[in-house]
Amino acid sequence: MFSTAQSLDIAVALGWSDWRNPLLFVLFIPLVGLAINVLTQIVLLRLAKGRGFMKTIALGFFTGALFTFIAYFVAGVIWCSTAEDRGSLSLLLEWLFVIGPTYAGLGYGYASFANLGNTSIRIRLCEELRQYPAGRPVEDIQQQYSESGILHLRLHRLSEGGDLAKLEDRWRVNRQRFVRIGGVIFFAKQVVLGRRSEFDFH
Amino acid sequence: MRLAFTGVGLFVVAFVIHLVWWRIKLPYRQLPTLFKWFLLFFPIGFGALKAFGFWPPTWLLSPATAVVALLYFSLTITYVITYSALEADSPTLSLMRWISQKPDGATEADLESFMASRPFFQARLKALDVDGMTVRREGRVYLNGQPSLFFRVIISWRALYGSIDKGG
Repeated sequence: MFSTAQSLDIAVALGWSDWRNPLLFVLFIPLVGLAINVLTQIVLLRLAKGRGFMKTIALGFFTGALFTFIAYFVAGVIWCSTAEDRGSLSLLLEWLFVIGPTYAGLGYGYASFANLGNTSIRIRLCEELRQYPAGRPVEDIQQQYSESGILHLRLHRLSEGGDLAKLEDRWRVNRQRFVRIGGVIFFAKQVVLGRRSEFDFH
Repeated sequence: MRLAFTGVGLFVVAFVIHLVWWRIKLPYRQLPTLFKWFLLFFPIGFGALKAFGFWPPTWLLSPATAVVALLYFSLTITYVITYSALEADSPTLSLMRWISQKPDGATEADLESFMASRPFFQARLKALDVDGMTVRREGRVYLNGQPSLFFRVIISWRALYGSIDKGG
Protein backbone atom coordinates (compact mmCIF):
# COMPACT_ATOMS: atom_id res chain seq x y z
CA MET A 1 0.00 0.00 0.00
CA PHE A 2 1.37 3.41 -0.96
CA SER A 3 1.15 6.43 1.33
CA THR A 4 -1.09 9.34 0.34
CA ALA A 5 1.95 11.38 -0.70
CA GLN A 6 3.22 8.56 -2.92
CA SER A 7 -0.24 8.08 -4.42
CA LEU A 8 -0.37 11.79 -5.21
CA ASP A 9 3.08 11.59 -6.84
CA ILE A 10 1.91 8.69 -9.00
CA ALA A 11 -1.24 10.59 -9.98
CA VAL A 12 0.73 13.74 -10.87
CA ALA A 13 3.15 11.63 -12.95
CA LEU A 14 0.26 10.31 -15.05
CA GLY A 15 -0.20 13.88 -16.37
CA TRP A 16 -3.03 15.33 -18.44
CA SER A 17 -3.21 12.74 -21.21
CA ASP A 18 -3.75 9.55 -19.19
CA TRP A 19 -7.49 9.17 -18.57
CA ARG A 20 -6.75 6.88 -15.59
CA ASN A 21 -5.30 9.85 -13.71
CA PRO A 22 -7.61 10.25 -10.67
CA LEU A 23 -6.81 13.95 -10.48
CA LEU A 24 -8.68 14.42 -13.75
CA PHE A 25 -11.75 12.89 -12.09
CA VAL A 26 -11.29 15.12 -9.05
CA LEU A 27 -11.06 18.09 -11.43
CA PHE A 28 -13.97 17.30 -13.73
CA ILE A 29 -16.51 15.61 -11.41
CA PRO A 30 -17.56 18.89 -9.68
CA LEU A 31 -17.70 20.66 -13.07
CA VAL A 32 -19.97 17.98 -14.55
CA GLY A 33 -21.99 18.11 -11.30
CA LEU A 34 -22.41 21.86 -11.83
CA ALA A 35 -23.52 21.34 -15.44
CA ILE A 36 -26.15 18.82 -14.28
CA ASN A 37 -27.27 21.26 -11.58
CA VAL A 38 -27.73 24.10 -14.12
CA LEU A 39 -29.51 21.95 -16.71
CA THR A 40 -31.86 20.44 -14.12
CA GLN A 41 -32.75 23.85 -12.72
CA ILE A 42 -33.46 25.42 -16.11
CA VAL A 43 -35.51 22.44 -17.36
CA LEU A 44 -37.56 22.31 -14.13
CA LEU A 45 -38.18 26.04 -14.23
CA ARG A 46 -39.31 25.92 -17.83
CA LEU A 47 -41.59 22.97 -17.08
CA ALA A 48 -43.06 24.90 -14.13
CA LYS A 49 -43.49 27.98 -16.38
CA GLY A 50 -41.32 30.15 -14.17
CA ARG A 51 -43.01 29.27 -10.87
CA GLY A 52 -41.33 27.87 -7.74
CA PHE A 53 -37.94 29.40 -8.51
CA MET A 54 -36.33 28.55 -5.16
CA LYS A 55 -37.52 24.94 -5.35
CA THR A 56 -35.89 24.51 -8.78
CA ILE A 57 -32.66 25.99 -7.40
CA ALA A 58 -32.68 23.48 -4.51
CA LEU A 59 -33.58 20.51 -6.74
CA GLY A 60 -30.89 21.44 -9.26
CA PHE A 61 -28.31 21.72 -6.48
CA PHE A 62 -29.20 18.34 -4.97
CA THR A 63 -29.28 16.58 -8.36
CA GLY A 64 -25.78 17.89 -9.13
CA ALA A 65 -24.61 16.91 -5.63
CA LEU A 66 -26.01 13.41 -6.03
CA PHE A 67 -24.14 12.93 -9.31
CA THR A 68 -20.96 14.37 -7.79
CA PHE A 69 -20.90 12.00 -4.83
CA ILE A 70 -21.90 8.89 -6.78
CA ALA A 71 -19.22 9.66 -9.39
CA TYR A 72 -16.69 10.30 -6.60
CA PHE A 73 -17.49 6.98 -4.96
CA VAL A 74 -17.28 5.02 -8.23
CA ALA A 75 -14.01 6.71 -9.26
CA GLY A 76 -12.58 6.10 -5.77
CA VAL A 77 -13.46 2.42 -5.76
CA ILE A 78 -11.95 1.94 -9.22
CA TRP A 79 -8.74 3.77 -8.27
CA CYS A 80 -8.28 1.91 -4.97
CA SER A 81 -9.01 -1.51 -6.41
CA THR A 82 -6.53 -1.44 -9.29
CA ALA A 83 -4.00 -4.24 -9.50
CA GLU A 84 -1.11 -1.96 -8.54
CA ASP A 85 -2.86 -1.02 -5.29
CA ARG A 86 -2.02 2.62 -5.83
CA GLY A 87 -4.62 4.07 -3.55
CA SER A 88 -5.38 4.41 0.10
CA LEU A 89 -8.35 5.39 2.19
CA SER A 90 -6.70 8.64 3.20
CA LEU A 91 -6.37 9.58 -0.46
CA LEU A 92 -10.09 8.93 -0.91
CA LEU A 93 -10.76 11.18 2.05
CA GLU A 94 -8.55 13.87 0.52
CA TRP A 95 -10.59 13.74 -2.68
CA LEU A 96 -13.75 14.17 -0.66
CA PHE A 97 -12.33 17.30 0.98
CA VAL A 98 -11.55 18.70 -2.46
CA ILE A 99 -14.61 17.59 -4.42
CA GLY A 100 -17.14 18.43 -1.65
CA PRO A 101 -16.20 22.10 -1.08
CA THR A 102 -15.56 22.63 -4.81
CA TYR A 103 -19.03 21.42 -5.81
CA ALA A 104 -20.63 23.25 -2.88
CA GLY A 105 -18.85 26.48 -3.90
CA LEU A 106 -19.77 26.18 -7.56
CA GLY A 107 -23.36 25.21 -6.72
CA TYR A 108 -23.76 28.09 -4.29
CA GLY A 109 -22.21 30.44 -6.86
CA TYR A 110 -24.72 29.33 -9.48
CA ALA A 111 -27.66 29.61 -7.07
CA SER A 112 -26.63 33.17 -6.16
CA PHE A 113 -26.00 34.06 -9.81
CA ALA A 114 -29.47 32.78 -10.76
CA ASN A 115 -31.06 34.60 -7.84
CA LEU A 116 -29.24 37.80 -8.78
CA GLY A 117 -30.77 37.70 -12.27
CA ASN A 118 -34.15 37.23 -10.67
CA THR A 119 -34.15 39.77 -7.86
CA SER A 120 -31.32 42.30 -8.25
CA ILE A 121 -32.60 45.85 -8.64
CA ARG A 122 -29.33 46.86 -10.32
CA ILE A 123 -29.52 44.11 -12.95
CA ARG A 124 -33.16 44.82 -13.76
CA LEU A 125 -32.57 48.56 -13.94
CA CYS A 126 -29.62 48.11 -16.31
CA GLU A 127 -31.67 45.82 -18.54
CA GLU A 128 -34.39 48.45 -18.74
CA LEU A 129 -31.95 51.27 -19.43
CA ARG A 130 -30.51 49.21 -22.28
CA GLN A 131 -33.87 49.60 -24.01
CA TYR A 132 -33.70 53.42 -23.73
CA PRO A 133 -30.68 54.67 -25.71
CA ALA A 134 -31.86 58.27 -25.11
CA GLY A 135 -31.88 57.66 -21.33
CA ARG A 136 -34.80 57.82 -18.90
CA PRO A 137 -35.85 60.71 -16.68
CA VAL A 138 -34.84 60.09 -13.05
CA GLU A 139 -38.42 60.82 -11.91
CA ASP A 140 -39.85 58.04 -14.13
CA ILE A 141 -37.41 55.53 -12.74
CA GLN A 142 -38.07 56.63 -9.17
CA GLN A 143 -41.79 56.23 -9.73
CA GLN A 144 -41.32 52.74 -11.17
CA TYR A 145 -38.92 51.68 -8.42
CA SER A 146 -40.70 53.34 -5.52
CA GLU A 147 -40.09 51.91 -2.06
CA SER A 148 -43.73 50.84 -2.11
CA GLY A 149 -43.19 48.96 -5.41
CA ILE A 150 -40.09 47.26 -4.00
CA LEU A 151 -42.10 46.26 -0.93
CA HIS A 152 -45.09 44.83 -2.79
CA LEU A 153 -43.02 42.83 -5.27
CA ARG A 154 -41.19 41.22 -2.33
CA LEU A 155 -44.36 40.58 -0.36
CA HIS A 156 -45.77 38.82 -3.42
CA ARG A 157 -42.62 36.70 -3.93
CA LEU A 158 -42.24 35.83 -0.25
CA SER A 159 -45.88 34.88 0.25
CA GLU A 160 -45.85 32.81 -2.94
CA GLY A 161 -42.79 30.98 -1.65
CA GLY A 162 -44.44 30.36 1.75
CA ASP A 163 -41.95 32.53 3.67
CA LEU A 164 -44.53 35.13 4.72
CA ALA A 165 -48.22 34.79 5.49
CA LYS A 166 -50.90 37.43 5.91
CA LEU A 167 -53.24 36.72 8.81
CA GLU A 168 -55.91 39.21 9.91
CA ASP A 169 -54.26 42.04 7.96
CA ARG A 170 -50.86 41.45 9.58
CA TRP A 171 -47.81 40.00 7.85
CA ARG A 172 -45.99 37.29 9.81
CA VAL A 173 -42.97 35.10 9.15
CA ASN A 174 -44.15 31.67 8.12
CA ARG A 175 -40.79 30.05 7.41
CA GLN A 176 -37.50 31.01 9.05
CA ARG A 177 -34.99 30.31 6.24
CA PHE A 178 -34.51 33.93 5.11
CA VAL A 179 -34.43 35.14 8.72
CA ARG A 180 -31.55 32.74 9.44
CA ILE A 181 -29.71 33.69 6.23
CA GLY A 182 -30.25 37.36 7.16
CA GLY A 183 -28.79 36.72 10.63
CA VAL A 184 -25.63 35.23 9.11
CA ILE A 185 -25.32 38.06 6.57
CA PHE A 186 -25.77 40.80 9.20
CA PHE A 187 -23.19 39.12 11.44
CA ALA A 188 -20.75 38.87 8.51
CA LYS A 189 -21.35 42.57 7.72
CA GLN A 190 -20.35 43.42 11.25
CA VAL A 191 -17.13 41.39 10.97
CA VAL A 192 -16.05 42.53 7.49
CA LEU A 193 -17.40 46.07 7.25
CA GLY A 194 -17.79 46.99 10.93
CA ARG A 195 -21.48 47.90 10.48
CA ARG A 196 -24.74 45.96 10.32
CA SER A 197 -26.44 47.88 7.54
CA GLU A 198 -25.57 50.23 4.67
CA PHE A 199 -28.13 52.61 6.25
CA ASP A 200 -26.42 52.63 9.66
CA PHE A 201 -25.45 56.25 9.20
CA HIS A 202 -29.14 57.29 9.14
CA MET B 1 -4.76 16.44 2.56
CA ARG B 2 -2.20 18.37 0.55
CA LEU B 3 -4.52 19.51 -2.25
CA ALA B 4 -7.37 20.49 0.07
CA PHE B 5 -5.06 22.32 2.50
CA THR B 6 -3.29 24.18 -0.31
CA GLY B 7 -6.53 25.41 -1.92
CA VAL B 8 -8.25 26.30 1.35
CA GLY B 9 -5.03 27.70 2.87
CA LEU B 10 -4.43 30.08 -0.05
CA PHE B 11 -8.04 31.25 0.18
CA VAL B 12 -7.79 31.81 3.94
CA VAL B 13 -4.59 33.88 3.60
CA ALA B 14 -6.16 36.00 0.82
CA PHE B 15 -9.28 36.41 2.96
CA VAL B 16 -7.40 37.50 6.08
CA ILE B 17 -5.36 40.07 4.13
CA HIS B 18 -8.58 41.41 2.58
CA LEU B 19 -10.20 41.61 6.03
CA VAL B 20 -7.30 43.66 7.45
CA TRP B 21 -7.24 45.87 4.33
CA TRP B 22 -11.01 46.52 4.51
CA ARG B 23 -10.93 47.34 8.23
CA ILE B 24 -8.14 49.86 7.59
CA LYS B 25 -9.81 51.48 4.59
CA LEU B 26 -12.78 50.46 2.46
CA PRO B 27 -11.97 50.64 -1.27
CA TYR B 28 -14.10 53.04 -3.31
CA ARG B 29 -15.31 50.25 -5.64
CA GLN B 30 -15.47 47.36 -3.21
CA LEU B 31 -16.68 44.42 -5.29
CA PRO B 32 -14.40 44.84 -8.34
CA THR B 33 -11.42 45.47 -6.01
CA LEU B 34 -12.24 42.35 -3.99
CA PHE B 35 -12.55 40.16 -7.09
CA LYS B 36 -9.29 41.47 -8.58
CA TRP B 37 -7.51 40.90 -5.25
CA PHE B 38 -8.53 37.24 -5.05
CA LEU B 39 -7.61 36.69 -8.73
CA LEU B 40 -4.23 38.34 -8.24
CA PHE B 41 -3.46 36.52 -5.01
CA PHE B 42 -3.59 33.05 -6.58
CA PRO B 43 -0.41 33.33 -8.70
CA ILE B 44 1.28 35.30 -5.89
CA GLY B 45 0.39 32.60 -3.35
CA PHE B 46 1.50 29.80 -5.62
CA GLY B 47 4.75 31.62 -6.33
CA ALA B 48 5.36 31.84 -2.58
CA LEU B 49 4.54 28.15 -2.07
CA LYS B 50 6.98 27.22 -4.83
CA ALA B 51 9.68 29.56 -3.51
CA PHE B 52 9.44 28.05 -0.02
CA GLY B 53 9.45 24.50 -1.36
CA PHE B 54 5.85 23.64 -0.44
CA TRP B 55 4.88 22.96 -4.06
CA PRO B 56 7.28 21.03 -6.34
CA PRO B 57 8.14 22.98 -9.53
CA THR B 58 7.32 19.91 -11.65
CA TRP B 59 3.74 20.02 -10.33
CA LEU B 60 3.06 23.58 -11.49
CA LEU B 61 1.47 22.65 -14.82
CA SER B 62 -0.01 19.37 -13.61
CA PRO B 63 -3.67 18.47 -12.92
CA ALA B 64 -2.82 18.81 -9.19
CA THR B 65 -2.41 22.58 -9.63
CA ALA B 66 -5.64 22.72 -11.65
CA VAL B 67 -7.47 20.90 -8.84
CA VAL B 68 -6.14 23.39 -6.27
CA ALA B 69 -7.05 26.30 -8.60
CA LEU B 70 -10.60 25.00 -9.03
CA LEU B 71 -11.04 24.67 -5.26
CA TYR B 72 -9.56 28.15 -4.65
CA PHE B 73 -11.75 29.79 -7.32
CA SER B 74 -14.93 28.03 -6.22
CA LEU B 75 -14.32 29.40 -2.70
CA THR B 76 -13.57 32.81 -4.22
CA ILE B 77 -16.81 32.79 -6.25
CA THR B 78 -18.72 31.81 -3.11
CA TYR B 79 -17.22 34.64 -1.10
CA VAL B 80 -17.41 37.34 -3.79
CA ILE B 81 -21.08 36.60 -4.45
CA THR B 82 -21.79 36.57 -0.72
CA TYR B 83 -19.93 39.86 -0.43
CA SER B 84 -22.38 41.53 -2.83
CA ALA B 85 -25.00 40.83 -0.13
CA LEU B 86 -22.71 42.31 2.53
CA GLU B 87 -21.91 45.47 0.59
CA ALA B 88 -25.54 46.38 -0.03
CA ASP B 89 -28.51 45.48 2.16
CA SER B 90 -30.95 43.06 0.59
CA PRO B 91 -34.52 44.43 0.74
CA THR B 92 -35.83 40.86 1.08
CA LEU B 93 -33.56 39.87 3.98
CA SER B 94 -33.98 43.23 5.74
CA LEU B 95 -37.74 42.91 5.47
CA MET B 96 -37.80 39.32 6.74
CA ARG B 97 -35.58 40.10 9.72
CA TRP B 98 -37.58 43.16 10.61
CA ILE B 99 -40.93 41.31 10.46
CA SER B 100 -39.43 38.42 12.48
CA GLN B 101 -38.73 40.90 15.30
CA LYS B 102 -42.45 41.76 15.53
CA PRO B 103 -44.19 39.04 17.58
CA ASP B 104 -47.63 40.33 16.52
CA GLY B 105 -46.70 40.70 12.87
CA ALA B 106 -46.67 43.92 10.85
CA THR B 107 -49.38 45.87 9.06
CA GLU B 108 -48.95 47.24 5.52
CA ALA B 109 -48.51 50.71 7.06
CA ASP B 110 -45.70 49.42 9.32
CA LEU B 111 -43.99 47.86 6.31
CA GLU B 112 -44.35 51.00 4.18
CA SER B 113 -42.83 53.02 7.00
CA PHE B 114 -39.91 50.57 7.35
CA MET B 115 -39.20 50.68 3.61
CA ALA B 116 -39.38 54.49 3.58
CA SER B 117 -36.63 54.54 6.23
CA ARG B 118 -34.37 52.51 3.91
CA PRO B 119 -33.92 54.13 0.49
CA PHE B 120 -32.80 50.91 -1.26
CA PHE B 121 -33.40 52.19 -4.75
CA GLN B 122 -31.50 55.46 -4.27
CA ALA B 123 -28.58 53.46 -2.88
CA ARG B 124 -28.57 51.13 -5.92
CA LEU B 125 -28.79 54.02 -8.37
CA LYS B 126 -25.82 55.66 -6.65
CA ALA B 127 -23.89 52.35 -6.73
CA LEU B 128 -24.46 52.08 -10.49
CA ASP B 129 -23.06 55.60 -10.92
CA VAL B 130 -20.06 54.79 -8.70
CA ASP B 131 -19.37 51.56 -10.63
CA GLY B 132 -19.49 53.54 -13.88
CA MET B 133 -22.40 51.52 -15.29
CA THR B 134 -24.72 54.52 -15.58
CA VAL B 135 -24.32 58.26 -16.04
CA ARG B 136 -26.73 61.08 -15.22
CA ARG B 137 -27.08 64.12 -17.46
CA GLU B 138 -29.74 66.83 -17.28
CA GLY B 139 -32.12 64.83 -15.14
CA ARG B 140 -31.85 61.64 -17.24
CA VAL B 141 -30.11 58.34 -16.52
CA TYR B 142 -28.16 56.62 -19.31
CA LEU B 143 -26.46 53.26 -19.53
CA ASN B 144 -22.75 54.05 -19.77
CA GLY B 145 -21.43 52.35 -22.91
CA GLN B 146 -21.51 48.62 -23.54
CA PRO B 147 -22.73 46.60 -20.52
CA SER B 148 -20.10 44.47 -18.78
CA LEU B 149 -19.56 40.82 -19.71
CA PHE B 150 -21.02 39.69 -16.37
CA PHE B 151 -24.14 41.74 -17.00
CA ARG B 152 -24.57 40.34 -20.53
CA VAL B 153 -24.10 36.77 -19.26
CA ILE B 154 -26.68 37.19 -16.51
CA ILE B 155 -29.22 38.76 -18.91
CA SER B 156 -28.69 35.98 -21.50
CA TRP B 157 -29.08 33.34 -18.83
CA ARG B 158 -32.24 34.99 -17.51
CA ALA B 159 -33.71 35.02 -21.02
CA LEU B 160 -33.59 31.20 -21.01
CA TYR B 161 -36.64 31.01 -18.82
CA GLY B 162 -38.55 34.24 -19.20
CA SER B 163 -38.60 38.01 -19.18
CA ILE B 164 -37.42 40.14 -16.29
CA ASP B 165 -40.03 41.81 -14.06
CA LYS B 166 -40.12 45.58 -14.37
CA GLY B 167 -40.07 47.87 -11.37
CA GLY B 168 -39.69 47.12 -7.66
